[in-house]
Amino acid sequence: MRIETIPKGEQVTLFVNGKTITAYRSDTVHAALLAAGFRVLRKSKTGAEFRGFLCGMGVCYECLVTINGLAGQRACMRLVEDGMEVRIDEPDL
Amino acid sequence: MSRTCDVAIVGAGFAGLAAADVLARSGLDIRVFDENPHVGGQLLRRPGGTSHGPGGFEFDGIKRSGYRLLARVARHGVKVNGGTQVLGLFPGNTLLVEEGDGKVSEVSARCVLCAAGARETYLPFKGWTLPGVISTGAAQILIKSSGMLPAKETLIGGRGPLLFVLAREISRHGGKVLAVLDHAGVSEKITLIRLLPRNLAKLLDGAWIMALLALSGIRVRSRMRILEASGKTRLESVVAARAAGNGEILSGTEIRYQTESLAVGFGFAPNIELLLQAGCAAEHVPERGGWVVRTGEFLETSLENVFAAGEVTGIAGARKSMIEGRIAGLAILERLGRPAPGTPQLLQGLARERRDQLRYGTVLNRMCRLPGDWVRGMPEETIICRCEDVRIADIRKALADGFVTPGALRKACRCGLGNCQGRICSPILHDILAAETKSEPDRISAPSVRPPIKAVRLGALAGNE
Repeated sequence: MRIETIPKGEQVTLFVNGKTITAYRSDTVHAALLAAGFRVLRKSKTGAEFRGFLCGMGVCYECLVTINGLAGQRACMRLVEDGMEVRIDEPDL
Repeated sequence: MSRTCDVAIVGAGFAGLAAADVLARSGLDIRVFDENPHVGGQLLRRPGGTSHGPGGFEFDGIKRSGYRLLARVARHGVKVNGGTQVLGLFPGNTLLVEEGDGKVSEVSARCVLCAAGARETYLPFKGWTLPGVISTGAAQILIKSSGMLPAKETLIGGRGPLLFVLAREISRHGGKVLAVLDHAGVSEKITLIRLLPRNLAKLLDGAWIMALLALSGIRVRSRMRILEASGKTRLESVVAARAAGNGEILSGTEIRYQTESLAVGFGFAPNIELLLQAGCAAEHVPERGGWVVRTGEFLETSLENVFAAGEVTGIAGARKSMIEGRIAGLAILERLGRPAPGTPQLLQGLARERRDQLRYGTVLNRMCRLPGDWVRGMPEETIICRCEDVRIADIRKALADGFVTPGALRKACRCGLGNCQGRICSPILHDILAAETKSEPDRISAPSVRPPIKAVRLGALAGNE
């Protein structure tokens, strides 16, 4: 949920599994996805469980997504760019 | 990137920046690397990674010092390489470095300073892997870097002062805090707080936050343990219950919270992977947050011309990190034959300030430390290693089969073999081994770390990207 009282930068557009979402220039991919309602990102390694963000600081590797065709990227460590294409393995939206 | 420099600093938080500030004044060629896109470490996270603070007056004294430090380092013309991962440290003080564009190169330095900071630690419970369960740090990052709350309503649980700081931040920004579930009891906290004689400012900060929480009607529940998080694909509800002094759950005290967001915090662990991989001596000191690198008076490690500063020598917060960055900076100047004027007096003063901060660190780490009983009642299906889906039942079975070291467990059930390379589960595993094998915590071996210490694409290593 965006905090209204905090000023935001310039708007950018991202494509998540083909769906268009808007974000702000200073967002990490993590923040942009969460703001658009994506909490579930992938299945765990054995496929037993759903997983999403945990640490937010590049330690846990739970938020792996595909960014501009490159798989296994940590969503929390990348800033958004206009036109960025993100693919999530297991979106529940 | 040029292949040699005088000093390579790993980590651009308070410790790394303070060292860079000292070193840059002497005109040395220094290189600073940080894997985050922004500079300033976890405390100075700010919207868009702007070089200075958000506009207006910064009330927090330590953050104010941090922003001044950022400005000074920029003025000295120090180039901080953000979005750059250090993958390993090899003989001859050669670092293997991956830049944001996937280019991998080697940089050799006369001296290396590791100031890689800390990460959060966790107490696993049933369902802690569900999307929607995040760390208190992750919640803070969302607020500070992106101006976002994790959800409309958030439940907070765990141990330590940061639970309350987060509760305050969320409510200040218009979010709802369902409750703060504190594992610690009131008497336990009072006992610890009394150990803080020379840190009046921190005590006052704490009292102020608690008063604000009370005023905003946020419920703080003591001695509460999270028993289970549940939901179909993402978090829907959390069950917690009150524990007796001996850790036993008091039946009939269970409370169920409906929420899509739970933020948990159970203290911190030093990021010493690079130093372990390089072969630096380390020791297990619970009062400092677990495995820390062993350092001398001038923050030199057991490896020649490799220094360490900040949380990697023991968890104690930003002020200690800044002090240690300065100490390491001065020590490196001496080592390189360019001592700063008045170094002995400066070091003496810094050593005194450092002692006070170490005392604060001891209290902080004790506040966050889990009681040894937590492993006992853990349900069999609880995940320990998230990367490899290893459950406590798998570990108990492997232990019964005689695999009783972190290294043996890694081979027996893949615990710690995944993407995070054991960063999340190794502190947990340490506690499990201590509890289940009845070993003294300092008899359990350190996790073994091999390069590359962070995930990297093979193509990048081969120079193809």
